[in-house]
Amino acid sequence: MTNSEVPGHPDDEPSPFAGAKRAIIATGGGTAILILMGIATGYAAAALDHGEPSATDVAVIGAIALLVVLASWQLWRFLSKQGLEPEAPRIQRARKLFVAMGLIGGVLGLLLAIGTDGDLAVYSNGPINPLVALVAAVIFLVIVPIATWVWWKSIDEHEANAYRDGSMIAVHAYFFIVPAWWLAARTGYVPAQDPMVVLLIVSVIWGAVWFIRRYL
Amino acid sequence: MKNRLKVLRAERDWSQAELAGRLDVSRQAVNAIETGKHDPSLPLAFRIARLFGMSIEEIFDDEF
Repeated sequence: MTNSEVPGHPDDEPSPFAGAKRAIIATGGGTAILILMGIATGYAAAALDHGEPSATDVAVIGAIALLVVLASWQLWRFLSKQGLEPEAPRIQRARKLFVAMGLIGGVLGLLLAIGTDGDLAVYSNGPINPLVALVAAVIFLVIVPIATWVWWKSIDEHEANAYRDGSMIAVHAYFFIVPAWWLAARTGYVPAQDPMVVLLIVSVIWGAVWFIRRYL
Repeated sequence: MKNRLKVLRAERDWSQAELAGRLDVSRQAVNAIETGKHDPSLPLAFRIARLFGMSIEEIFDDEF
């Protein structure tokens, strides 16, 4: 008898895409909450810049805060339900670290939003408060590498392979994109190269490959 | 590489998550091995073999 001839266990995932769907909801929900927090922070900063916040400003910020709380609660309920099936300790550890890194990302985003003048501060190249820049840089240089290393040691070999494949394709993408953009910018066809945009593209490619290899 | 992991699991009435817990890997890893998308490393193959009390060759085969 072969694997394909055996019916699945009743507790197995109903479809191979169930894990992918869950990951999309968890990642998308977390990202949406972070974006909402960023919008609330940006709105509050802009309102304070214009003097005393009006009742409308307070209502808008309150509504966004309520949305954040409701979305967080729903996401927590959703993720808690998923935790009912038995899970290896290392997988639990890796998931907790993943969530912790997401929170660190949220803190970084808030720091950048608070410390930078102008709109959508996270993607701005404008001046930034030196203290905020220093704290954010230390987080990137010390906390993020340590957390990444601990996470890397916690994941299983299947996910490590997915992560490694993603990194390899992302590095290749970097080598293709950077010189092409650099040359095109010198002709004036495209704007000058922005390292953060390149970072974003490479990160998306890395994450997409990791996701496909792990869940699909 | 083909394997009999799902068959052996069914004989013991284990879900993918249960087997994953016993092997200290994720459920996705078990699913990927069963469907042939991921070939386990030698250490993991030994863990699987020990868990089922069989040799690696009795579970994994690159010919059938």
